[in-house]
Amino acid sequence: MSSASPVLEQALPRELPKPLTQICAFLAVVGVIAFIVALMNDPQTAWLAYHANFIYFATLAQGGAAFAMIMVVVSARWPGPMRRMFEALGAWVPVSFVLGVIGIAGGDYLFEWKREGAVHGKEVWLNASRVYTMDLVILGALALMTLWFLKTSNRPLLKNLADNGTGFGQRMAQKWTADWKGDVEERDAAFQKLSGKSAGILFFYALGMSFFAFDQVMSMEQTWFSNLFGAYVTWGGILSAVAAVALCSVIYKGKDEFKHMITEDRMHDIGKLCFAFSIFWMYLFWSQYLVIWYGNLPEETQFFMDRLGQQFVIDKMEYGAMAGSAWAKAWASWDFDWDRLSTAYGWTAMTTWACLWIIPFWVLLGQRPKKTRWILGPVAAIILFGFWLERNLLTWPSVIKDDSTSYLGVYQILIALGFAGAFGLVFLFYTHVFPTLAVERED
Amino acid sequence: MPTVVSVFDLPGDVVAAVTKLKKRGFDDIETYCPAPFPEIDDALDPKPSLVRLFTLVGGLTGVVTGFWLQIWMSLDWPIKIAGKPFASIPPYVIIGFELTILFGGLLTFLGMLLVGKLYPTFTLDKEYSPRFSAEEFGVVVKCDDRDVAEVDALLRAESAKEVSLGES
Repeated sequence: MSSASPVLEQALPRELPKPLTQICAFLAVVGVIAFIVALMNDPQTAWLAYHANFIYFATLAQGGAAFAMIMVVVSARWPGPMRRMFEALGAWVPVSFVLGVIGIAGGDYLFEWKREGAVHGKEVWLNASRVYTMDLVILGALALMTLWFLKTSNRPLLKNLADNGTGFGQRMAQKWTADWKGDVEERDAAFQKLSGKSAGILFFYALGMSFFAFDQVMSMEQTWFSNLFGAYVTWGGILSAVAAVALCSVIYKGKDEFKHMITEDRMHDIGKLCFAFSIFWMYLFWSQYLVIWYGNLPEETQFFMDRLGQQFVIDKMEYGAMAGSAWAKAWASWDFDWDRLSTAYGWTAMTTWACLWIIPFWVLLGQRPKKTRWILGPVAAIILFGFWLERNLLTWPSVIKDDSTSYLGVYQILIALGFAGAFGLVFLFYTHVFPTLAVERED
Repeated sequence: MPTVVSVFDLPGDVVAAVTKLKKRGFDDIETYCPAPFPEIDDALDPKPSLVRLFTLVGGLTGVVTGFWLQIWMSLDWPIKIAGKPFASIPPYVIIGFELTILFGGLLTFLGMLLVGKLYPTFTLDKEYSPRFSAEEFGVVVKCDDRDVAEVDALLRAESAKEVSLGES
């Protein structure tokens, strides 16, 4: 019988890295305090920052879990420990459900339709009971499915933790490995269970995350609509998960237990994924931009006007300058003005574009950079930062239109660091204590 | 110049044998494999293949052709559409991109045929045997008369299961 993983893996419980765990915990606490203080002084800023980071980490974590499921469905043999890293990102998924529940309280500051009622014709769709019921059901169902996936996927690895571990990790591992049948049997049984159901979960993920994006992000600008938007946001989640795993593998390559598993071929593969997925992200964006630019309908262009500024929706009525060569005419009709980039969130949009496409594309184009730690690592970090900017760019301009740096500020950055710290804590706990990042067995 | 023909069972042994031969300075080596093994290619010639130059030239030609074609056509017969400039960049990106891929792909294919000498010929290599298309690997070395013994010993040391002198 075929199996996703040709080698046997086993859990590797380790000590939590002291300073890093403390820093993450500290950041998480600071984030919570900053959020509460901001809530009292400037609730709109607090909720917008909360929402942008909630979307960022929810799509990132869910994208990671979904990518691990894709690997199971296609029985990928290349990833080795990287599949476990994707799964580790998914540990945040249940947390994002809880954060989604908390987010209900901020609805009035985020959604015009909640504060003032939906525009005519959209009342059936954009009302609090429909939006929150549906989105929380989606998040909750995805959390349950992801937990089931993580449990089933990790069960074959946990026997040695159940036998030789200590404390919390051991107790949980014993619970998860009840009725143990043997290493090979468990591995094959888990694969058989996962490969069928993962396809169903992925289908639900694609549909569910799209609706989640429509409701939680697109509806912030309630007169704007786009069919592609759900796929675009969901894809952002998958690309940021791939970048996160690339960054993790670069870091883990420096550790003795993982050095031999993160081979040059695997670095090359994850680098290729960053490269290709970044192109696809740009492709989705361009498909969206092009039709809106050409169609030039006010209810569509407003979204880009609020974000990219005037330069990118310019329509130039220019009938003169028909003399001269074809190239001179082409040049004359090219109408670019740096000042227009300062309108709306133009420069943020340019930075995002550079982080998510220009840099990954040109730097990762060659074979060597994909295999080089100190090139792939920073590029992956740039992609992750780019997505943080992009998520801010999707949310803030819908509400605050006249301040191009509204998403930057003390509260905003502290709340973002708080989210990062909490995500780091969950990730560290998952990779070190339970169920831990598995390694290949030596025997 | 004598030709030493050897037969191997495992690709790893072929890599080891080829690496050792190259290190000793025997550069006229030909291998036959039943399936593609990138590690054997790397051992034979670690330099990147010339095919990538074909891809680059094709891609650049494609992107220039794509943009030039559209800009020239829309200025040669100007029609105002949706108040946009006659030569407007955003929609032309698509054709530019597609022609980059098309020309790049076609030239890569052509380059692969030329560089890999995959065009049809009427004679097979003398040393080729149908076994090399079944499950065995062939390593063929051309060397001077006085080196035959050394090459023979080297190949056998890397677990070649047969080594023979081909007709030269």
